[in-house]
Amino acid sequence: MLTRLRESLEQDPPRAVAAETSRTGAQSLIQHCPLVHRTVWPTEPADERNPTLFERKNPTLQEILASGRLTAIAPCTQREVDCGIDRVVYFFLGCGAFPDGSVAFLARAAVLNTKRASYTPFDTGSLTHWSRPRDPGQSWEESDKAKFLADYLGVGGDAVAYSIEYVAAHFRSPPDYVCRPQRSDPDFATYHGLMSPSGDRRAWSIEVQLQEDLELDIEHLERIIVASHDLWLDIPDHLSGITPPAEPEGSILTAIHDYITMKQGA
Amino acid sequence: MNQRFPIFGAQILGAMTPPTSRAAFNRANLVVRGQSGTILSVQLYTCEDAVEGSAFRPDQWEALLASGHALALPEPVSLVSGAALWVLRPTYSRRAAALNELRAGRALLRDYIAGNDNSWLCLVNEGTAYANTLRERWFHRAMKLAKSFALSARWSDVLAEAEIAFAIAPALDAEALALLSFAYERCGRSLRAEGTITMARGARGEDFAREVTQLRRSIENELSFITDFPDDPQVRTITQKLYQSGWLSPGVDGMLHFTSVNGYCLFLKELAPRIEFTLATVQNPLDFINEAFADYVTAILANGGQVGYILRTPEHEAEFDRWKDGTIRSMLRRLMPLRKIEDALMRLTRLPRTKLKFMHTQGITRLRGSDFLIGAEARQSQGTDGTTTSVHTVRPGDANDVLSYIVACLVDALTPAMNNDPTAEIADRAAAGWLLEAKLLDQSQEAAIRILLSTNPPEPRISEDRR
Repeated sequence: MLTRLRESLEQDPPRAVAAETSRTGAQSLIQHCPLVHRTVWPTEPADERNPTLFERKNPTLQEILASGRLTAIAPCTQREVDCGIDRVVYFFLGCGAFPDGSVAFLARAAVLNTKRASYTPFDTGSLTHWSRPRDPGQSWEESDKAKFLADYLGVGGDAVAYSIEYVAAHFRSPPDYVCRPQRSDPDFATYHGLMSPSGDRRAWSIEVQLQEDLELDIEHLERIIVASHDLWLDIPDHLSGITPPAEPEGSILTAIHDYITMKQGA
Repeated sequence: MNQRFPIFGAQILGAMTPPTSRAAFNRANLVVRGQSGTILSVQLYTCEDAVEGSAFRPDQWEALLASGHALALPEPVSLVSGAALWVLRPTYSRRAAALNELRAGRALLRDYIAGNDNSWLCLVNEGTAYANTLRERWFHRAMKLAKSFALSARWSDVLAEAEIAFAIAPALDAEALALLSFAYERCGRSLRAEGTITMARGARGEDFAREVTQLRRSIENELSFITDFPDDPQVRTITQKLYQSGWLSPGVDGMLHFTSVNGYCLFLKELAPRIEFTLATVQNPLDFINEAFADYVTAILANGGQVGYILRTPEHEAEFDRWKDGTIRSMLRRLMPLRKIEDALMRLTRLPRTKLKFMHTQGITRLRGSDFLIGAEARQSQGTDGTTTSVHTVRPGDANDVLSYIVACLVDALTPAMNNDPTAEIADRAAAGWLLEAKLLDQSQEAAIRILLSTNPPEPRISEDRR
């Protein structure tokens, strides 16, 4: 993964210079980035190839809290299954690129060193409908998507090192990776060639597929952000201190961005 | 994917709301359908009369409903800018009044819908200032109630109200968080008490957390004297009524004082803005009713002053019997003619006689057979237990004047609410007030109640038509 990214930079010297300039900032940023899991949202993009795989009920917040964990479930697409991912909890590294849900669980990136995980520099689910190659002439059949996923699927333990280079290679100002709005593009076109016709950032945000359950405790979680005050009352006592409600109500994305920015600044 | 469409022609299908919640109040975003058939969960109303949010397919909407993550209205309702869903759950202690206020203020787009767990789902137009004013008002009410319960050491009730205030508050409030943290601590949830402060720090930074911590310390100091109070159900009932009626709110200027022979006290404050009740920390009324007190009262009466004091216990009556001073006895005998008081109350309040029945049947009637002194003074005395008692002067006059004055002040305090509040709340308030009187005067045989009026009170403002 990293080799291919570096090779792409070598073919574009001005961009390589920009990446070199951004690297220190990117390192500082990524080292402070948690893994962001948005929920509670009951449905996920269905895979038209195998809709039965995805007919499931996502748990409510109360159910998640009662279980004490984010439970890894069957992946959204058959492509992921074909890549060896049999169970998954989805995160984005350092951003809330999945825009829906009333709660965001921010996991410590250190779990990537202790749990089985993988990552991609795009939303795996978006390959189905929302993202496509920038080159309009490139074939984008299911087999192409499957190959694309396999080509850009990294091992979880490498995610941080990769992400530093990835952010440096795509942003003149690394914090922009965190704060860019849902519909936005990086400063430099994605090296993997994927883009979203609607400009959705999921075409370039780094997704982490945690392939084990994540325990809901302060060892694994940095923070939980709830959309409104009332939800905080549902949070168990031992997690109440790391669960600020978003202000103003509902602005979870802003709260995530503010947190990461604050953390980096601190 | 985020989409937007015009509000005109759009319909509300339902809302994203959790099926159950520990919170007494939830606010939820709506799910709406545009004229094109697009369904989205509202994230914002734009100034171009459009609505924007996450779009999803009809089958996803069905899945949301089936999984209990969302609720559907019985029939679609036309969307207006600023609409949202407010969920009043059964744990919201004053939700009936809240619903009435929503109705009276025409903030509802349609009448409430019964939801899960007997929740009341209210489609509210947040585009109007009134809805947000109501939410602020509910927040302040809950805060006031929480503080009142704290004064009687009812920690679980304090926590319930503090949580209501927290859930209703549209933004984090330092005092609400301080009270919440304090209540968790008193309820044995130290982890969450600390978590509340930590959460404040995480949400707004160190300065905000420091403010919350300081406010919590202030609350602890203010309430430190009631830590070990026993739980008296009668006192609890009275307190609850008083605060639910909105008559009392904690303050520092005045207090109504209950005390009983077994040595505990309840302090309430600010019965009405213009009636101040004095803090007294007498542990045992018998310490207060002694020869010195008799001399003191006699002197007051000789000067035409007044003091309100009600004693109900046999011990107290025996104590009085030992007083040979005929002045006091004669004063007791000329205590107010009941009917006259009742007439005065009716004239002042314009309430029917039935509203006065508590005072008539349970209060004054009983009182007439007991000891009741009217006098006046303004001084502080040192109790046998080392505590200080303040006694304030009231204007000269007979018993009728004093009670009339009390009622007039209460009515005066309530008049703005009577004029502005289109709901039946005022009637409830009045009823609660009379009930208060009844409860005050209908304490157990052990109890003694003392009511002291403020120094140099202003003339009651009684309009001509009330006279």
